[in-house]
Amino acid sequence: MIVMKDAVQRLNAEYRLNLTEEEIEAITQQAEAAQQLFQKLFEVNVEGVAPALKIDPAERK
Amino acid sequence: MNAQDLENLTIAGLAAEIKNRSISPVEVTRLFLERIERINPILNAYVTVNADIALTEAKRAETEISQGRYRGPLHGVPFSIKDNIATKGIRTTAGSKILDDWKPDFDATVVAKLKEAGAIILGKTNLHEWALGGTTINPFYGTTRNPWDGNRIAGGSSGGSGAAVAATLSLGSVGTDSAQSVRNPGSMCGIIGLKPTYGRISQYGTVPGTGAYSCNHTGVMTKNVEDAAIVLQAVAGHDPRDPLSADKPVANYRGSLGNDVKHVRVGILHGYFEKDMAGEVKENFSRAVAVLRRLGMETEDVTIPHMDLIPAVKVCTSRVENSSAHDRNLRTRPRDYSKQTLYAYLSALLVPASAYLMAQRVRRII
Repeated sequence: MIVMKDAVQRLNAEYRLNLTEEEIEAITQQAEAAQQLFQKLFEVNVEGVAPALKIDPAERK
Repeated sequence: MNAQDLENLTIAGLAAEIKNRSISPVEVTRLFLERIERINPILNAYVTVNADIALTEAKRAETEISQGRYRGPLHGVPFSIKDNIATKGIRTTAGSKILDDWKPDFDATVVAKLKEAGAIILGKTNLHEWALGGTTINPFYGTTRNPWDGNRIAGGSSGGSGAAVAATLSLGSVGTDSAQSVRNPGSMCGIIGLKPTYGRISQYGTVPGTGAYSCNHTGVMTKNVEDAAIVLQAVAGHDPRDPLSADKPVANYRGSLGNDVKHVRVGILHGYFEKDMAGEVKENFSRAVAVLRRLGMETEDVTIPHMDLIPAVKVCTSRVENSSAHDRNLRTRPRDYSKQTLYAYLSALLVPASAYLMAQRVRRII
């Protein structure tokens, strides 16, 4: 699992965002909420299921 | 025709009058521009009004029609365009500060098709900042208000288009919809908000980062179903400039209106949204299903597996694809986003690639 606060701080440094501590907290909270959501995806059995969106115009005809 | 007559006007109704030359496109355009001048300061549906170009195009339409070169039911009809869809020579902001002075040197395909059909583009309509939200409370261009009650929102992200059509500040509009952005303002403003099948209308010219690459749709907003059919007829079809555009024939939408629908099977989805549905909405939903049955349609209760995972798939798909289009601006102009939008994009950058791919696999089984 990603420690989101660390990840936000790394992003802050890499993108030179100059975020305040309050902003880092707010973004961390949103990232953690997203993490809680996407972790559920890894519990689904998708054996044999290919990812959606193969961009193939021939397939769309 | 006077200002009062406009309120009940539809595309189909106006088209008949323009065709038989009982009203001229210039006269109609002037009436709409006057109405916009009067009502838009209250609703804030438009962010840019295109009066001079609109009148020039209306004069052109009038000349063509008077010479017997009538193009069809959109010829001379006043239209609006959501401001994340490129319009040649007309400011296209995407509801953002970053694009506040961008004038594209090209038309989006949907705009080009509308112009080809003779529609008169009156201006560009307000939206949620970068189309990322459902309220059209925009920190840079103000809030769009609901024409039915100025204390309420018009929905979003295509809220300006919803309000413009509902208040007859244009007779039709095009919006974009990744996650309700046409349907939500359609519903809140009491008009038709049609999100067609993916790839049915070209997305070429939609501002990148105002909808998810793999699930954004160009949609149609009108006062009634017949008008939606007329507009869809004009703007649907394959576009080689959009690699995800569907290369399939365009049906005769208007011609199919009124066809017998007996024995058409309709799935009624259960097991996901009922628990959050307000009582009044639930009653209206049941009434609508009863109408389908009365018309002879065969309704069948259906459930879709993993519906509860839609929010997770949405975050990992829509937000991630959107934020990737903003990477450069996030690095160079982060303070030109509202805080709400900045936080949403930055947090989406932290969704791992494995989660994005897993979301694409789960999409297959929902």
